[in-house]
Amino acid sequence: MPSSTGAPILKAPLGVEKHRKYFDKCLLGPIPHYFATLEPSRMSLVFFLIGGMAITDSLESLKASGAGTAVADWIYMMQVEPTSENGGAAGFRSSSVLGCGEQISSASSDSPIHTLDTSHITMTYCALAALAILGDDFSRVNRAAIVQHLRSLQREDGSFQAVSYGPGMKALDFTAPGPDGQPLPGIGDSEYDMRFLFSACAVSWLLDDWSGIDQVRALEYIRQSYNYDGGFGQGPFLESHGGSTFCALASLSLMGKLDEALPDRDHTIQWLIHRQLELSYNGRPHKDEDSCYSFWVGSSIELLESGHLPDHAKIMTYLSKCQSVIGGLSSSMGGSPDPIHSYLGLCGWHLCQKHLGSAGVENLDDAPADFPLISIDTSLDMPLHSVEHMKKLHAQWKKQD
Amino acid sequence: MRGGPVPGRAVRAPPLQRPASGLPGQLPAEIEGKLLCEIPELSDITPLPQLETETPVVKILHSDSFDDALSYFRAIVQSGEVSMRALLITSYAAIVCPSHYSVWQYRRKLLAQLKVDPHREIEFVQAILLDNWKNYQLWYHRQQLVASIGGRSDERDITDSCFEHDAKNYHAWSHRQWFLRTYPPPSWLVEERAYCDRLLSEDVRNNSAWNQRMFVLLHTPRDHPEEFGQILTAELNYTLEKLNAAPSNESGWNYLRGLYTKFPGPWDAGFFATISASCDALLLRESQSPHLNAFMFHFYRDWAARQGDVSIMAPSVTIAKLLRDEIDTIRAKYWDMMHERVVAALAAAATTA
Repeated sequence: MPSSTGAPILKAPLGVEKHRKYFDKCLLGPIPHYFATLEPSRMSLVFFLIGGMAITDSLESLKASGAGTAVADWIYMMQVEPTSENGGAAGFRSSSVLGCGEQISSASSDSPIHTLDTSHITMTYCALAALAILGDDFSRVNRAAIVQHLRSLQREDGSFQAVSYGPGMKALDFTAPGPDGQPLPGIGDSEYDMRFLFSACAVSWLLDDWSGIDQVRALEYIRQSYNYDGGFGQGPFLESHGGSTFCALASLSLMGKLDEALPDRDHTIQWLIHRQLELSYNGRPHKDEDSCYSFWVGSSIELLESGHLPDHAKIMTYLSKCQSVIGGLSSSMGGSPDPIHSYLGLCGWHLCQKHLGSAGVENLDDAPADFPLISIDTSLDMPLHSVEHMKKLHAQWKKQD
Repeated sequence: MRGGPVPGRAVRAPPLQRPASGLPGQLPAEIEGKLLCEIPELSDITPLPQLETETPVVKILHSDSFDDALSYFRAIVQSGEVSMRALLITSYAAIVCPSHYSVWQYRRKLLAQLKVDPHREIEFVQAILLDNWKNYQLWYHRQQLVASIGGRSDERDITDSCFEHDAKNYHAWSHRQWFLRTYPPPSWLVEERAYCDRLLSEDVRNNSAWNQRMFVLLHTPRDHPEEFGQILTAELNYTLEKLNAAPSNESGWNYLRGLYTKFPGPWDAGFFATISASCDALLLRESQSPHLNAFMFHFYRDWAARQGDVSIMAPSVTIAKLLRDEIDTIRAKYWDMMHERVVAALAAAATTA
């Protein structure tokens, strides 16, 4: 089958078709009950699955069936509109788990949207990324309100919290002041760390508007989270981790500050390159390998222009073995597949394939060798052509302004 | 089981017990195992099912207990009910979906309005933590609870318990650091260093414990440089001792390098001699250790940069070749690049000389 994007297709001993079916099956659902605790982050599953379809070059058939429009419409139903009750919250919610009121069913018009049913910064990133991959024109995105809302999510230390509730839903009276009588650092409406700082940067990039972030404070938070071993933790003093190192580097890259703000590039490369063990990458020293780090660590190395350094054949062999017979990838060999590891693992696969080339892939045992070569943007975790699509929209927005 | 006693503070990590029923919003014994729709006291509440579109996206097939709990939760959120039975409903919702940040937020609102003693809620959290040690929202809720009582709960205890099962649990370490930074107990620095020592004596490759050791060092006052210098020297000796016992330990070597790059310390010629002598001695029996050799490679370069004398890095050329060709071939390209860099630096220095 020729690729619809014109990308070369390699031979097919272990089919990419299975993965396409897996992504398709999960997206249109239903998926089993053991994914229940992901309901509050269901939008991220949409992103991973739409992304998965894009990098396996099967998005066109989804769109042809009309399901592409249905997915976009569903995403827009999850958009939160700012009100005085919700404190000006904008962006996207995870799913209809708290209602969404009349947006979904006219039968429930007596159940107005509750202020608790608000947006989450990472769900906003995932929704916008999924829309971008679907080729949406963003005309229904409330860009200004989302950027404005970012300001209420940034904390004094520069990090971001995930959610901010309206005045009626704050639990401030619940928390006592700190030992010095001042409000406590860390007490707000929700968790805060490098993941959400990255989400804020990705949202700002996608909307081409950085006025929602105080970059000086954000850079200081990243700098404070840089550790003695060259990696980055989720926050100051916290252990270096493959995931938080990606979030820190990708944020710097999106802000265009990678060169000036990275304290010691060589040291970070050294830490990252040592994440590769006999099988694949781990996320911390002396921890087990996991397929998701083929993206978190792999793309971090890529961001530091050192993508040629790892032993790609080993990573690809490991990822091959994480494939499930029903399609999709699991976190380690012999596990059950899930959308997150399927997408991140295949993104990691693409990073390796780029360096190893088709000849190198053919020499691997058990390797699926028919993957379309669709380039990934390493800081946004999206296909490159979707990033190009966004750049075109950005140019249009500039003209309109 | 854990080793020797920790000076100054007994580590209390008793096997955690599930609290008895009767806690705020805790499930009373008589309703345990029941769905909310089976409880007569809730019969006047109309549960609101989760609405889905005609073509839902990534719809999750929820269990009956999930749908039951969340349907009642949606109902009390909509009605704004503030009552103990509303709190009970949030307990159900939190148990089936502990990752739901808004369930916890709503629960905190109820706890405040109902003036529930936070100590009792801490016990409830403990019960759920037992099955969810890796849940962000639960640890965050706990953080808020501890803050609400002004830190009057030694959070080292709960994290000790967690580390009994998983000594590298990122959430627990994060919580512990938050507690120590916000409500530093007296003499915590000494106690925490001893605690790290204890964890490292059990597993010298526990990177989280090494990181915590660095956390302690970074919080150690430096008003008296001489005193701090002594602490650094003690850390140096401690690390070398640990590395002597297990030389192929990335965490230990990272820590050692961190000591002299992160702190201005007594890093004089004597220090250089100590390190290189230790490494040379280790090489006699561990010549093939990638981590030992990798450290030496960087150490000579670091020292050359510090002294402004490129010739110091000369041994790094052979080390990089050894790593590239024989003992760390998985990183052959990396070591090849580093080898070229050292060779180039030495050549440039030779030309200018």
